[in-house]
Amino acid sequence: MTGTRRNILSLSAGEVQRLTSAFNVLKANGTYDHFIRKHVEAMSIATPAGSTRNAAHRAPAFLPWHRATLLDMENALQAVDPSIEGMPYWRWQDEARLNGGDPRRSRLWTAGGIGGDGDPARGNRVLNGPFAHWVALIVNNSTGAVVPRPTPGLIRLLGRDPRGSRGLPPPSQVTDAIDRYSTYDRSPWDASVATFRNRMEGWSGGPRMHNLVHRWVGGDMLAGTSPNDPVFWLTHCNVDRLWWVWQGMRGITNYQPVSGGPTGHNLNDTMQGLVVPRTPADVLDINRLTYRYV
Amino acid sequence: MDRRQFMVGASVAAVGTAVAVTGIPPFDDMPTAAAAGEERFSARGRAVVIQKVGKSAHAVINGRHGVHLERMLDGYATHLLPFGTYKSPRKLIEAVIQAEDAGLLII
Repeated sequence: MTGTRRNILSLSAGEVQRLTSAFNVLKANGTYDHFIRKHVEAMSIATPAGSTRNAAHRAPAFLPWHRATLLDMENALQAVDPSIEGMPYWRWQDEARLNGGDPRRSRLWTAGGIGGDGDPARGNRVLNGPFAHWVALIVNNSTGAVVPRPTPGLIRLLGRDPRGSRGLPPPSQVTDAIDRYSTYDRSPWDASVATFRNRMEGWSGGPRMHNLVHRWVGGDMLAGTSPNDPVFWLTHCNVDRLWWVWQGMRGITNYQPVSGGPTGHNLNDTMQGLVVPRTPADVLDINRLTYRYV
Repeated sequence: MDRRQFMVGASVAAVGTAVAVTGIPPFDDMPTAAAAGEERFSARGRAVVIQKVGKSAHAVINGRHGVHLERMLDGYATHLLPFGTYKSPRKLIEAVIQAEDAGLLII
């Protein structure tokens, strides 16, 4: 399949409806939950054992791992409905400006979008929109199992989760990451380095960027099961788009480490915990992956 | 790091101390007496014991459920709430317990 990825706020109501309907088909047939489980699996693979890195976070493969899983989800959506042009992205950095300083007012968070904020009187569950009936998966830490949450409904606390953050990343954070950080990543390949990858992930100088978006949405987006909420894909699609912008400025093939880094994070290592196994090298050039951002 | 991997590391780190951290879940072998580096408190109706082991820490909640904590940047992190760090093990465990009460996970 090929993908044309657009700003979700530029899609027509019909296009959004086709997208959310396809998500619903994948949820109903179990495909969607498989992606959630793979994300949890990647989170639980420390690289190496005893480090703070895992297969998909706090380490170099953060960007290629999520590019790969986005591609797999995009392909799954298009297999359901070939009229879907591609995974849309959510420009979270614009939402405060577009909504008078209150990104909760975005039309993304409406019944015609991806549903609204959670209802504080109902356990912060999202009661409207296309995913209101979804049963989320949660981790049972004692058993390691990923199990259905007894009560249906995604949980969101937009900008008000006590475990999260009050604001979304402003455009200045995007500019900072892209303009100031010319090195993709460097040793010790973890959350401590001031590099493009880590600025994007949001540990360096954080919480910022990707981490801050998870924290602002709150609820299900705060846990390792964060793909429960479809905004996960829209969020990461914007992260991926920004990486592609950076690659356009800094070069497509300057991924690091080429070798000598943690297992699963070197250029030609197979990344762990993906639906379709791939290496970082496989996903560096989106032209080869036949999708584009507009 | 999964729990079994943590336990291997914890077992190594605990050699030579009064703490014998071995075995597998459900972590019912934690010492009952207060030990050096140990913090006890209650949060939202749960009894919590936190034991620092090297650069990591381990929390036992209600004498049974274990949560591994990692020293990261200027605080502590857990894979259960993976998008931030917390200033102290106690703050982190309080957040995890809140998350359980909110329905986001099961400790």
